[in-house]
Amino acid sequence: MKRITRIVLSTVFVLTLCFNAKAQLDLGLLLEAGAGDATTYLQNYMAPAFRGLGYGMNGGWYQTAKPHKTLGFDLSVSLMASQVPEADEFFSFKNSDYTNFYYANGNSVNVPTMFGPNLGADDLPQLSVRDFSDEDNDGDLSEELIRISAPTGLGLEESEVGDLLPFNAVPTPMVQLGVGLFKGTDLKVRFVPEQNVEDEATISLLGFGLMHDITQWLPGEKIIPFSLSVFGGFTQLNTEIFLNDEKTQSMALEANSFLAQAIISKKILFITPYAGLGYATSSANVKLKGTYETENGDLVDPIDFGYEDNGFRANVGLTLHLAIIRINAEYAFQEYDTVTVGFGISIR
Amino acid sequence: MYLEATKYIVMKNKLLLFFLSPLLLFGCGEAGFESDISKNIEIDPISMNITVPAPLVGQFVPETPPTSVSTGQIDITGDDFEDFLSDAEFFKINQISYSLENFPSNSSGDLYVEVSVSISGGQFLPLVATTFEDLQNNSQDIIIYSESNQSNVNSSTIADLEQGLLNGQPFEMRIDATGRDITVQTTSIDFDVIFKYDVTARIQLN
Repeated sequence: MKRITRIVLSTVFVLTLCFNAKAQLDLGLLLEAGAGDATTYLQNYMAPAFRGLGYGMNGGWYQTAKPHKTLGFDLSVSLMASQVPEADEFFSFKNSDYTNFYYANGNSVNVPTMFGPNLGADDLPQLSVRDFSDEDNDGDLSEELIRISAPTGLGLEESEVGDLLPFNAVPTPMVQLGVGLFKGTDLKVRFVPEQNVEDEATISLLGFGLMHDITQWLPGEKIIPFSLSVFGGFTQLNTEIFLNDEKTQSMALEANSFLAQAIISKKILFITPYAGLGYATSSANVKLKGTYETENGDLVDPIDFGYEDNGFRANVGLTLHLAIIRINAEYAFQEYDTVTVGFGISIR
Repeated sequence: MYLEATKYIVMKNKLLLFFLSPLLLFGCGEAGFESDISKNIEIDPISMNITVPAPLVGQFVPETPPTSVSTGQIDITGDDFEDFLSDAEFFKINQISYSLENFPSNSSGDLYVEVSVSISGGQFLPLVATTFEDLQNNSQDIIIYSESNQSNVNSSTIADLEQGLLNGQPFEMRIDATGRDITVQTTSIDFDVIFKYDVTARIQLN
């Protein structure tokens, strides 16, 4: 369980492992521009990570439209990879969006998002912070206080995992239990009680889903050659990453996702092709908690921003049954197309 | 039996790799991250003085007696880059500029200066020799060294200074100055010279 929570944690909170090095540097410098500007920048910079997470959390719910028999169950582990569109590898930094942060060589410049390429300092634009609190007491609030390279992307495509994933993607692992209730209804449960991960973070996950076979309510049920179900599922993830040993500084994330779909599947020997069509929503809220020293004074709980996405989701997948073992792969068409692979056991 | 066990271990490792892929993803990669942090750092004002014999007050003086001043220890790294020093790959001095304050408006002239620096108490090395022209009009920053203007500067001293910054070493400046084409209204005038060092620290995080 601990390993799974660590994996989930590392995935959903992209900053975690790099935070102690890169992100703390970037964050510390961004905060020099004040809470408002840091929030605007981080919201743009981190958008692909949290949007991808939201799309990913809506995956892996089912591998067939056919529910279990009563008290039948399945336990599955899935890894979703939500593809970050090329357009989201960079964002436009516009001077007009910021108060104390500016690009000195123009009105705007393209800078990498977290899921952009890992550029060297020579290839990154320099962004300046104004001395808005008049640190040097010369009365000039618009002069440059500090210049920093725009934070680079993580360059995932160039990293070791670039070989593993054929595209730039936000991975989201998920573990889930499905239980057959009655009248062709499955209850899906995603549950990780609050875990303390090596005293560096906490994480909890809760999700419920219901899948109900509607074939039984259709006329000619016995001769309908496929399974047809409706599904609704909700997932909530809460995590908090501590940024210092005293745990007085942290970054907290609450992410919610909801999926409603109609699913169709047909088992052919030991293979079940399936497809789903419906609507998905997701949201994430990010908060930076604690007191942060900057050259312009202390900032308390300086960052608070969120994302919301919603839209139609269509997916197609294939499940392979090997006795009680079940292996599946799925492709979902949405703003961040998502590939899911998973395996598990299924009984009854 | 041994073969089966080996297969099992290989399979287990592959599964582990698969599920640890997110960890690898966010393990920051082999290349690490690079970032430049730059500041235009203002050194404390340096008080300077020009004197002329009493009979020459109000007269044109081609050259005044030389004067020399030294600063205290200047710790750019410690004061402005301390948090990043352990990750610094190199320091670069992009620009050196100066401005003047408190030069009397009823006086005028130029100042020939030779600036030398001593890094961590070492011998003074020549840094720049230049003329501050029209002292009465120099309240704005005037660049005496930049990448595109290195003519007056000793590039090896710049390199030594950059290495000193990387080593976290403070330095001391000495300014030897001579007034030229001076017209002053008192036998002694005091004014301040403010130097600014525009410095970049290249940070490498692995």
